[in-house]
Amino acid sequence: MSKRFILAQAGILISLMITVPSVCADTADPAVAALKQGQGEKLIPRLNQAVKKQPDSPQLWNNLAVAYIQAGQYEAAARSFDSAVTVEPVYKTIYANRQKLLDFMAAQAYQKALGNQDKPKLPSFDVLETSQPVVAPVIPAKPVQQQEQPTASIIRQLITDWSQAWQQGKVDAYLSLYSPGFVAADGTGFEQWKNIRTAKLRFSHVQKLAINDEKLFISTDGKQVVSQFVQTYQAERYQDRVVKQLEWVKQPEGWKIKQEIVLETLK
Amino acid sequence: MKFVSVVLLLLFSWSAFAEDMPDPEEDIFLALEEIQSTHLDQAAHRLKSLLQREPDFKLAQLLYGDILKARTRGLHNPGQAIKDTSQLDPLLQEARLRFAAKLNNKPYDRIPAPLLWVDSSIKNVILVDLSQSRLYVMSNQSGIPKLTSDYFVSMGRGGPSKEKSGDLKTPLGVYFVQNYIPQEQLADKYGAGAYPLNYPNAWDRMQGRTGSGIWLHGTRSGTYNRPPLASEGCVVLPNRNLLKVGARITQGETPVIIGENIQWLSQQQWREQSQQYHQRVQGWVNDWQDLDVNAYLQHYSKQFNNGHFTYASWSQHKQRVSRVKQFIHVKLSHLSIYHHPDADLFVATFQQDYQSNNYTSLSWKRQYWKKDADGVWRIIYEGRIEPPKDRLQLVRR
Repeated sequence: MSKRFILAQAGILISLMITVPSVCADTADPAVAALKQGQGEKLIPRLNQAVKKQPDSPQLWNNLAVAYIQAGQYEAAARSFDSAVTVEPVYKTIYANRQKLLDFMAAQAYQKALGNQDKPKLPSFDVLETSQPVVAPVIPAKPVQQQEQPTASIIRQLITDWSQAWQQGKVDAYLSLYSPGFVAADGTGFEQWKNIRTAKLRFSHVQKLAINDEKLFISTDGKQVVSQFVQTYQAERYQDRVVKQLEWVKQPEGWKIKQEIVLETLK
Repeated sequence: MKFVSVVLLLLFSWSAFAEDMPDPEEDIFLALEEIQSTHLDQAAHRLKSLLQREPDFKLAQLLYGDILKARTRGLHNPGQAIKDTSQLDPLLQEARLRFAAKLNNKPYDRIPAPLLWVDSSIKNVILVDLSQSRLYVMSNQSGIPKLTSDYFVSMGRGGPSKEKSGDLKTPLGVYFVQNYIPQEQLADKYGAGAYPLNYPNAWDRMQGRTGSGIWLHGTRSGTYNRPPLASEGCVVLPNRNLLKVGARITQGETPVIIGENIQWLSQQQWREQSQQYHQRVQGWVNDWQDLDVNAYLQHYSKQFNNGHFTYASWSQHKQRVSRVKQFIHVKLSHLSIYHHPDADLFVATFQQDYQSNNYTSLSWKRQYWKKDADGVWRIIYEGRIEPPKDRLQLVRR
């Protein structure tokens, strides 16, 4: 609502000798205050001028309707309410949709009451565009060979998980990355090796574990991956730097380490 | 003089139709159709203008109110704002009946089975089907009854088939309009006028039926029409319709046939039936003229009773007078035959011109014929009636 308009309304109010007690005026617009006090009847001509100037203001149409109600002119009030809800295109569509639904419900109620067998035809309702997508856009399914591509990133992520689980002493997460068929480099069986590793992870405080120069070799059938990297390890009383090879195999529950070998110890 | 009166009468009846307004029931029907096809705007507009013409039309008020309700908060059931089902249900029943009456094809090419033989002097016959809450005006066109108009009517709160005084039921059977009581002589609740019927008739009295004051009448001021079951046994029409029907009524003469299951026949079926019934009455005349008193008496039921004679005294009397008869000539004229819509009974009314060697008479008679258990139709009542008065004195006001 423009300032000039408010001033104009205030002016007319003064000229109409409507006194609005300041305690009740919790609004800047004396017209609104007058309406709240049920003194809308005298405002009708003024509000009609206002809606002519600003026919797209739902607020003005609403207030005009309230003024009509206060004057006992209910039909005019209903028409103003109709204008209020139809001035904006979005409201207009919603209002029309609502109207269609309500008419359909009334038709249905009467057909039932009159024992009429023909069912009323459900009208078509307009759908509005929304600012935020409710459902993420659907991405078309990729061909099979393209699905092989993310394997590298999966393995890279798994190597990160592996090193972090080791570094943070998360035994379960660490061990879960190994295949049940895993055999240690020294020939120790999986169960015994697990016990050794569990103890080591719990009692050695890793100060640093860095993975660098990562290389991946993916088999042509995509079911095996050999990863090599430089592993820098530092604990309280031990440190080394090695080139390590982890051999990954794809299993139903995901990629698992089948073999772990130190290829080379670096200076 | 008579001719002038006829002309005056015609002019008067014309004036009743001159200010004819659109039929409110037509608007109700169209509004119901519009509501059901989701054209609520059109229905609202129609009902609003109907209510300007007929502000007391309750069903129109209900529909208009429902549209306003539907437009604001949605309508789940007709009349959902009316909590009292004893008020709402009759209105919905009225809506169903009125809608059905307009929706179904009118039987313009068919003839109600009860109207078996209508004398040309009878201009109109009124038929009331209580199962449809409908009154039909049948005009007599060269002996063939034709449907000319039909109206929604209310009946007794107790429903059809009156048996005793105070049961608030509407009788079933063949009745005749007795007279006319103008509005000025009536309590307000009877509306624009009343046409008393001859309930209980001879047959009703033989059945031990009691009660009285079964009328065709209008509605009280401030009421457009009454619900389907509303009166104390009378057949009630909106005042505007009572006036229209009244213009077709001849006092002491117009039959009012009230039924629950009125059959409508094709012309072919109707002709076959009406011939059969006509022959039954003619058979009685023939046996009488043939001086065969035993054959004649076989037309009478063992339950015959007309207030003066039982079957025994009637046969005794007839046997006695037949001994001196050398010839009997009987000629029936103005014969009308109406079948009870819901019973094996028909009513024959006629003028009887009787001539014999020792006695001559011209009289009006009414007979009630009943189908006995053996399938034979026999006279159970026979009595003289007042000759129809000059029609000109009788039409309302």
